Amino acid sequence: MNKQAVLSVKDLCADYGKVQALRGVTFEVMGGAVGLLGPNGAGKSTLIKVLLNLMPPSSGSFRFMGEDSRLLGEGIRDRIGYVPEREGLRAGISGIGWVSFLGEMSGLPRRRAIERAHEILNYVGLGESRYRDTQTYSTGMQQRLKFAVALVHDPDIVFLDEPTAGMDPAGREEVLELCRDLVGAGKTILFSTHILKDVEAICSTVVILNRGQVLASEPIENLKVAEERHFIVQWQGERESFLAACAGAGWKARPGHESLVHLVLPPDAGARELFSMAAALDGSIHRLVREESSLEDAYLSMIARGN
Amino acid sequence: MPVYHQGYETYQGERLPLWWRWVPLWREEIAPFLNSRLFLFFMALAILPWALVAISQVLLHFKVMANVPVFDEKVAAFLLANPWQDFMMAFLSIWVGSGLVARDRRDKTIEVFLGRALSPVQYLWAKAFSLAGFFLLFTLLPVWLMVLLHVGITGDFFYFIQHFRILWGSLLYTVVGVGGLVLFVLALSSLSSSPRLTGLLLIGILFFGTTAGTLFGALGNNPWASMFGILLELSVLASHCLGADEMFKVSFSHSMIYFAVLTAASLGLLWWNFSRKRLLR
Repeated sequence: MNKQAVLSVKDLCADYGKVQALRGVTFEVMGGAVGLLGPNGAGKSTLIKVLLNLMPPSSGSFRFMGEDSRLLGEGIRDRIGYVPEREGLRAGISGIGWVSFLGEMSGLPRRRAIERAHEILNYVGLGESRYRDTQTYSTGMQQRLKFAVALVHDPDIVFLDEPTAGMDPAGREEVLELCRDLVGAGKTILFSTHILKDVEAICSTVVILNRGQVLASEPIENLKVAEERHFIVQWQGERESFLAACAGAGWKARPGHESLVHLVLPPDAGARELFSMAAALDGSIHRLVREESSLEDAYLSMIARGN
Repeated sequence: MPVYHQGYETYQGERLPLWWRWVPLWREEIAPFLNSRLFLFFMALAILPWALVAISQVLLHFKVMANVPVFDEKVAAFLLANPWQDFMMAFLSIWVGSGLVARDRRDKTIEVFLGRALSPVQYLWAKAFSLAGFFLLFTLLPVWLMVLLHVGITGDFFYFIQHFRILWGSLLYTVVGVGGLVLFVLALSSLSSSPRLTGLLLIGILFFGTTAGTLFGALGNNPWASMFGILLELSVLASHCLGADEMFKVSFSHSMIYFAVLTAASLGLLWWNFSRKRLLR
């Protein structure tokens, strides 16, 4: 039996007047942590706003747990937690006051909202600072407070818009740890960010957006495999002729230290083609090491192609 | 660092219906005012004339005082349309109204509020009701309480029939006039992300507009000059709604058109400025 998608987006378009922010976005989220990647202006924040029903799509639709979003209306936001990129804190209110108030706005009765706020502030590690004015919180604490606000009503899916932006390494690691824990607790996370290392650290799948279109939506491992492969070749012979032959084959090659050559093979070429070419030259390959390709390589190459 | 040492716990309790979601926002909006002694003192001052009239009515009934008019349409019109009432309405509009939406824009909390299951209309309703609620305390509510008081102490149920205009007139004034003013303040507050700037704008419009209207009206003997001042127009509306037509030269239709235009313009401004695409961009 097929597992039902938590979120299924189909041909979603959205615009700001004449500017098209989303152009036929289609992807599915089956669960776990999903990275939403893209350069500035790719449409990531707009996509989150459309998925939150904060902004109406110009066309297309999405289904949430199999239910059409158009039928869910405002109620959809009871099932979604949202960590916005911008601050979004009111001055002169304590952490517990702010979280319980937003819990009430999500439909929790007053008393239960206060109890839940205590629980969730303990969970995000703000238990000891819960009575302090939120204005006195550090950047990391404010970020964790936003997590508490997003989780107070126990949503099924959490949208994170640049949750680690502007944080120090320790604070960043705490946020990532929190995300891992949430995924472990069965929550689905849509993690929008520029920081690819963060995505690699917690996500199993990515959706790459560029200019309002989806360039890729698949597991990170597939992306890495599908992309160009990077090799270090130790060439015994005249290096210039080897470099020229690589260039003639359309491969990117650059000289490295002493006899080493950094070679990038396209997805349709492999070691067999490399050795065939080497056989025709006056020299030999002494060592061939594959460099591990990162999500960053895959992402940059995809964006470059998209542009 | 003891982060998430207790593990995530799910929420299994009840959830209140969607239509109720504006109430916590409204409560949060009025709480700082109710906790301010200065504000409570101000509200007491606003209610003071009504309290004095109520006391005089009781004293009149028990023949402790003479020469006090019975609470009728003219007395109600006077209480709703006098400089004290105008000042209180202007002051309250500035104090409570200037930050209604502007503060949320400044703190970037609109996105947080609308990220919950709350529609923009509910959000605006919560904001409008926080200002309107305070207005009601010294407009509609005391008028109706005075009527009940009168019937209560005299036992004269025919008073309801004889002075029915007090009930519907004050209701019409509240819906059209006070409602129009609340929408206007709300629309103005949504224009800026600075409550201070909104406050300054309101001071200019409410205080100087009324002064300008009064001056131009007196100098040019032109009744249409009142349209400069919202508060002046409110007084005109109150007098017409309660049948005290001789208080102002401006006609009833003029007042109704004025507030219809003001309300439509405010709603248009709110729609333009508050349309979901623009607000969260």
